[in-house]
Amino acid sequence: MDEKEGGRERTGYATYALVWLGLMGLTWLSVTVSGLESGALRIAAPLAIASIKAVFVLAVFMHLRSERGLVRWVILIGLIAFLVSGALVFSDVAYR
Amino acid sequence: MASDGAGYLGGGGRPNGLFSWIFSTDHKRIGILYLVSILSFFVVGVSLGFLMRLELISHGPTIMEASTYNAFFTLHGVVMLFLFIIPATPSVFGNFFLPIMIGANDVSFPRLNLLSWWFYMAGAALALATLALGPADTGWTFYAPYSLRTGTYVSLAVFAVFVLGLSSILTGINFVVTVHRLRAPGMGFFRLPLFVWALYATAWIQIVATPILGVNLLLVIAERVFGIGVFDPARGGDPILYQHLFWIYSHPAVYIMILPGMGIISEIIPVFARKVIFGYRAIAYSSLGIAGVGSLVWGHHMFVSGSSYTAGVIFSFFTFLVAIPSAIKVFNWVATLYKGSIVLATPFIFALAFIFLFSIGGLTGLILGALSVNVHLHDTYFVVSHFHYIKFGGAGFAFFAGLHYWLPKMTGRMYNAKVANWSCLISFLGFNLLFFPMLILGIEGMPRRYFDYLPQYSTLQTVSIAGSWVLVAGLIVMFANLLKGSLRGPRAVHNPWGGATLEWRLPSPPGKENFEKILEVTKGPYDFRGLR
Ligand code: HEM
Ligand SMILES: [Cu+2]
Repeated sequence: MDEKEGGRERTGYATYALVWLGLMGLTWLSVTVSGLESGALRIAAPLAIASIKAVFVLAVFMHLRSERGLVRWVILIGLIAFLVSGALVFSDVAYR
Repeated sequence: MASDGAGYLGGGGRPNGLFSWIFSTDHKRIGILYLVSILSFFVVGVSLGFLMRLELISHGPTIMEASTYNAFFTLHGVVMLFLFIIPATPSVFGNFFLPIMIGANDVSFPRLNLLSWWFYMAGAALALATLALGPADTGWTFYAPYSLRTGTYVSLAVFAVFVLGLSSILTGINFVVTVHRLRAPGMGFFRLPLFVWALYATAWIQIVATPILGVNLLLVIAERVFGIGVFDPARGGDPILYQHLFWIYSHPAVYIMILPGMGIISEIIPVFARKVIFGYRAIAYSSLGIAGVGSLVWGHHMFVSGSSYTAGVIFSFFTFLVAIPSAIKVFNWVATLYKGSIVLATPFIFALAFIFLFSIGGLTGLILGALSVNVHLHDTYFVVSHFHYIKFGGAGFAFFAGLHYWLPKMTGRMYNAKVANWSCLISFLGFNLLFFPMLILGIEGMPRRYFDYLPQYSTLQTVSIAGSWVLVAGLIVMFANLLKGSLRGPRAVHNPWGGATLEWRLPSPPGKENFEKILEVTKGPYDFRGLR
């Protein structure tokens, strides 16, 4: 374990704090955008912002940035599960 | 190793008090911790079910008011699902036997394993605390918008389930990593016992699906406390979204309950038929198949709740599809029995009871999965009967089978086989007497979650109530016998059934270290050559 640990780049507290601030900013943005009441943007924009936030959380807080191999691939399972269940939910919402 | 024959159960010279258990990171001790706690909550759940049945013995309030009945079925559901059947097989037998069956000395993360038991106990304490404060009356499904408005302690109950979910995720992560990293040399994936395959598939569901429940439950709390308006139609929310998020987890959770049970049956059948299991790979892959396709069927709980017709057709189709891998398993078990040299020992008898009850559960599930029939049957006793056949008749009886199969290994002592066989027969009869009439009552229109009923249902209700007495009698005999055997029974030999999986090579009970030296696996799990 130790040798591998040394090969990895460590994430400093400053980075965590910065990313966290960025996430808060994005949250503020999506709250603002959803208040705009401008049709399609009200759904699309928060979803896009949320996706960006998710990427930051995965890469930095969940350390995927410094992981490699199988651990990176495992994230695919989550993504596929998310897309498939999202699609099935829309088979309801879109045809109601 | 302790020479007194106490194995991991002994203190090995050091004090063997409570702390040496509740802070132990030994997977075997954690398995026992779970066993004791899970069975205690099972007693609570059975008592609630028993009292609910008793309430229906005559018309009007008999032993409780309507609001108490609502609280009872909610707590009964929460306790039975989240405190008993979801953790039962993975946390007890999985913890105890998964490392041993793959030739490892522990799970990958022993401390997380202990933490998962602590989370479990914390969740249990919270859930039972609602009993004193003002139990939730929403049903175990916590459907919005009622769950957002009722004055009972829903937030606390929901938070309890959230904590229990954390516990479940930790177990899942541990099992996946352990199976990947800690297999002994020679233990390829296709030499894994089918119980391990089943736990592996289950663990993936626990990891992928449980967080969705977690998010959903937190949203309920946020909505109750801050009124954020995600689910409440009065605030522009969508109550059907709640049902989606709930069932995206809770249907796969049915497979968290049943897959490990199927794994137990896949171990027991070949041992007592003295035959290599028929279709090893088909059973292994069907576990993954169930985990995969089973994640696409959740909408069958929502056919009549206002979801779209298109979604109904899609979900009905996938529901029929998921029956295939389940049927594959049943056919393979039966094919294994064909021309086997059958030994009618207790674990095997329980396994047969499982196959019968699970088949009824599965087939009634197909009936409910059909769109048009569902309109008539949804929210009736037919549903109540169906899921008890799956969860109790299936997963529960598989757990009992596992108890009679593995407890001698875990405690080093044998129970009385004759009494055990009788307890199986009594429970089996009681179970069918209790739940089969509910199928008919459901077809006749008796709705679920009602504390009273029309006179025309009296006869079958009475039969069903009598069944609950027979079942409880059978359970009492079963557990008294197991308890007595575990404490004072004759010593168990190391391989009482002639099993070929690795746990049967260890002494009963196993020592502190499972394997003194790393072993080399040279044959498959169902190769009985050279064994009795
Ligand atoms: C002696 C054993 C049992 C008895 C007598 C019993 C009886 C009952 C009764 C009377 C109901 C309420 C029916 C209604 O009015 O709608 C019920 C609901 C339920 N039972 Fe059981 N049950 C037993 C065991 C189990 C087991 C072992 C499980 C799961 C592993 C289980 C899971 C459930 C669930 C999930 C519900 C639905 C609760 C709800 O509607 O929210 N039960 N049971
Ligand atoms: Cu379902």
